[in-house]
Amino acid sequence: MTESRVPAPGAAAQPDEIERVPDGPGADYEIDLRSLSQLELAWRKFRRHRLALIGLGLFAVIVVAAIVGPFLLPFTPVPPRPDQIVYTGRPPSLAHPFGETGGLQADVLMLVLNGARTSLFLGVTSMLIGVVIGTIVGAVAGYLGGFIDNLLMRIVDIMLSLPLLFVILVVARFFRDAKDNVWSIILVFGLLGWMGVSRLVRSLFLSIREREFIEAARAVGVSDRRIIFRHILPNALSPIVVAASLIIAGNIIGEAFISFLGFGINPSTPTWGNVLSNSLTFILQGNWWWPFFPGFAIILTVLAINFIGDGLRDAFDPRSRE
Amino acid sequence: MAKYVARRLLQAIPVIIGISIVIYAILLSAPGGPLAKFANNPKVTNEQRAKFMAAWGLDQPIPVQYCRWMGFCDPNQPGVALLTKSGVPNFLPSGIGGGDNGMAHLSLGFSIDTGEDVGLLIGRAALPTLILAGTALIIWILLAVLLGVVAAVKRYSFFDQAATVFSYIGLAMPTFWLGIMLIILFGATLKWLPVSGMIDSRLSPPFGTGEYWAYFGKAPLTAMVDLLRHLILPVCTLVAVSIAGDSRFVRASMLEALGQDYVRTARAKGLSNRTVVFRHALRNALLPVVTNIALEIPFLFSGALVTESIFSWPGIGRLTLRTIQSFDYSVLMGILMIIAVLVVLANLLADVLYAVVDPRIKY
Amino acid sequence: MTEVIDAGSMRGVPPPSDVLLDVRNMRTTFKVMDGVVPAVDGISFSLKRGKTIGIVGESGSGKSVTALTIMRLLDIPPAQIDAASEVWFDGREILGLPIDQMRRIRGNDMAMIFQEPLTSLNPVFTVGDQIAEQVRTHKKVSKKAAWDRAIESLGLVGIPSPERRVTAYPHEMSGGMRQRVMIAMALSCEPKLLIADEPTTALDVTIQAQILELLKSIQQRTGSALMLITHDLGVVAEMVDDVVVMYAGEVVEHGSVEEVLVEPRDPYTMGLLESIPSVEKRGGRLSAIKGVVPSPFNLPPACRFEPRCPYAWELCRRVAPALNQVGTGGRHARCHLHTPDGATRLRPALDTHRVALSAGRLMSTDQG
Repeated sequence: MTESRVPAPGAAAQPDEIERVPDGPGADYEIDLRSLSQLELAWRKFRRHRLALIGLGLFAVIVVAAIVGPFLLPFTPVPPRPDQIVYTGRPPSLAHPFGETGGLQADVLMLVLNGARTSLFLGVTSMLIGVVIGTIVGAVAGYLGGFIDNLLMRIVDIMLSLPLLFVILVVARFFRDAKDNVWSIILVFGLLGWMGVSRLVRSLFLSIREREFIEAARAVGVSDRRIIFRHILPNALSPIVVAASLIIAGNIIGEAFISFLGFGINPSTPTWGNVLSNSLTFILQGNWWWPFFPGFAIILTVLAINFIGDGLRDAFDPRSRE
Repeated sequence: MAKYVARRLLQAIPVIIGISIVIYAILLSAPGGPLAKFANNPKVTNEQRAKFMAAWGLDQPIPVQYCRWMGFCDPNQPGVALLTKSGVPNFLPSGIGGGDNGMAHLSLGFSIDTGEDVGLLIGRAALPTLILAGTALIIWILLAVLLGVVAAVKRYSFFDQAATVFSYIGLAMPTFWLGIMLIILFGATLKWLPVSGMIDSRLSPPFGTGEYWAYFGKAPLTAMVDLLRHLILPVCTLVAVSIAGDSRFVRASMLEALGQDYVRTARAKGLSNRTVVFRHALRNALLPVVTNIALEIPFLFSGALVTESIFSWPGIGRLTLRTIQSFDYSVLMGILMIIAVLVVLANLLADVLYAVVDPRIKY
Repeated sequence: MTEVIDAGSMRGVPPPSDVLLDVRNMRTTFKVMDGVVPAVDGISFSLKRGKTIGIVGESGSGKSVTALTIMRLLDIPPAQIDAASEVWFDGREILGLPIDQMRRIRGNDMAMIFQEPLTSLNPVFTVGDQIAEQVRTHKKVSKKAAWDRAIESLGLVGIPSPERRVTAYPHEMSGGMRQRVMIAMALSCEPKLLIADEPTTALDVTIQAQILELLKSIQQRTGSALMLITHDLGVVAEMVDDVVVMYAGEVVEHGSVEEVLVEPRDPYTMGLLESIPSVEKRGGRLSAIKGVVPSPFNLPPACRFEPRCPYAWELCRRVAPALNQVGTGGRHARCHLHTPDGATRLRPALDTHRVALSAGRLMSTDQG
């Protein structure tokens, strides 16, 4: 078969102008492939999000305060006093910027800082537990499909039908009277918080599994386990990270909730939740600073986390423009 | 559609039974229990404790207790007694010689604390919670949709940005904190609104009693106003966080609808902006919102738990807390089962509503 | 073909009464994260009543934006229409009209059909509802009359049993049927101008032919003018009287359809025609225009097509060509070949093009 070759253009044009890629001004536009790694791309997009940066900064401040604060203002149990039933506390002043509690007259700032440490630790650890369990369950269900998938999802459904109430119940039942029950609460939140992540991971796996590059890997003979960890998981990581950030926030509020109801962590370890819970006694007498500051701390922390989560979501979204 | 609903209801039954087993097992398997209230009382002898346990059947193994609770076992005989003394299976109606206990006979048992029939107890607490949650639900839906739509239509305007700030803060706030702050502000400092109970005890008898309804009949306006004044703060507390979250959802849904091709077609048809937004876009935007709200209804109950506690509202929430503290199994089981059923129904409602409003969905 | 109006000198003066649509110096830009993009950069053309015109170009050439600008369907914050742009429709300048008056024209005197029939109809309303709604908006008729008109329109576009189909939802219809519904909707108020933006691109080939047939017969029957936007030269050949070829936001050639498609005078158009695969060119390499469409942020400094043009020379890199007259009729091409500076290169270029076009034919004779 003779190859047809378009004869060289007329006399005036140079013979090799047809073949080579043209040079000169304006040529760069043809090839604009400066490829960035996924992480770099995500960071650039994150950077543009003003709120996310604020959130990051805020969160950093809070973490530092939580780590350093308790050293500066350690938690010292205050000795009982004769008038503790009626003592309503003192409003914020220079000596006590957040005021003093009623009852045992503890410094609210000290409580908030110490509470920060516990609450944050609880939030992050329980999230990790929940995310790890949820990811494993979701990955297995999503990848293997079929009967296992059905079984696991039925379990998830049943567990999801049990309302938050149930969490309280379990905690109350098993852990309320324990002296040091921080880890118990962490476990409870972790063990009851994996379901959402598992659903997310499962649907991610289901969709990624069908993509061509997975088929290619399988065709070449890559083992199942390798496929899950090296190929699918990295792609699924971003939504999981976003979900994880929100779970931390949810757990912090959840802990506050159950502490408030009296089922949370023992007051010998202060958390924002149980400080809030104790503050109820004197609100009608006008002690607003006792409940205000711990609650405000919760709001700031959760806000910061939500901002970061939003920024992360936009950063990882392949559809949002660079 | 009817077949679909029937099928879902049938499928729900094993789930509910499963939930009941899990809850029952957890409730009864941990140490402590209704005897806790006697724990520190030296006057209660061991003999009395044993009699107490036997009277309530708490000395039986858990599966037996569960069986009795379900109504398949006769509580008047020891162990697993599937037949009554007259030889008839226990789950049959008592008229024919069957038993009269348990779920099979629609009985939730009796409260270990007060001895009252659990059904009645819960029923009495239900009305206040219904009033609270019902009002909250209506306000929640209206405000969330309104805020979300306006924010979407006036995107990036001051209103939108303010609404966004409000939602962010709302989502970060524990509901009870808001309640506490509201109490301090409106109750303690400004003293504008009452902060506890449903009624002003100087004006009217306790809510729900016969005397109350008599009073209501005689002075309906005053009674209503009193009730409403007591409702304001609890409802605000209950819905603030939900509105914050949902208004963003509505906004996002609305923005997505507004970006669709059919909206461009509607504009190309020369329709007025109001028609395009409220007829074409909103109708589509509400589809996911409707199901979302249906799914969140059960959360109203956990919210009610805390709100009723702060505001001393005599509803199911407060009842639940009390029974958790005293481990009154019967009442607790009753409440939890009702909630589980409500959750299942809410899920079903969400799916049904979705099919009703979206003509593309057919079951 | 109408004379190209020197837009600058005729500002504010309406065109002659037989010209239905007159686009003058339209410049639409978009503000995006990285800068300002000129999607349509100073184009002008006109359309007489009852005539048809095809706007041809690749994706990104600005043809859809042209239509959306005419209909004023662009969101103005990201989009910006230059103050010097004018669009005259039916004797009125419409870019400056208050929006509520524009709404009275849209869907009524001027109607548009979009590319994606699958998503262009509202899924929660019946087909009849959507057509009747348009009728009721523009004509003061009763509900029943509007409904009847909907049924009638459905019949006009060839939908069988329209009285039954009128209560169907869009998702109950195929893509081809939905596009017919879109056409029915567009015609329901008897518009003077019908704009069709890639009406068949999303459809199967066999359905494409049907829809085009339909459009043609409707246009002939109702006497409305048709502006057909497409990237498909074959479609254009069948359907229109005049052709406007767009590239990178500019008009690069226009003339009657015979002139442009049989004897193109702009290198881009030539390239397009050369790259049509044909049965006769069997065995050879597929010829394509080398290079890629320029990014709007990085447009070539002078002639926008220069980097890909087989006939370009250094003048093309220095000076941007104007839309030069070709021959004596109303033909124009944006190329220096038609200026005195390019006179000597014109003949050889045309010869090269002719050879490239017929290369396939020579080939097949070789094969025997």
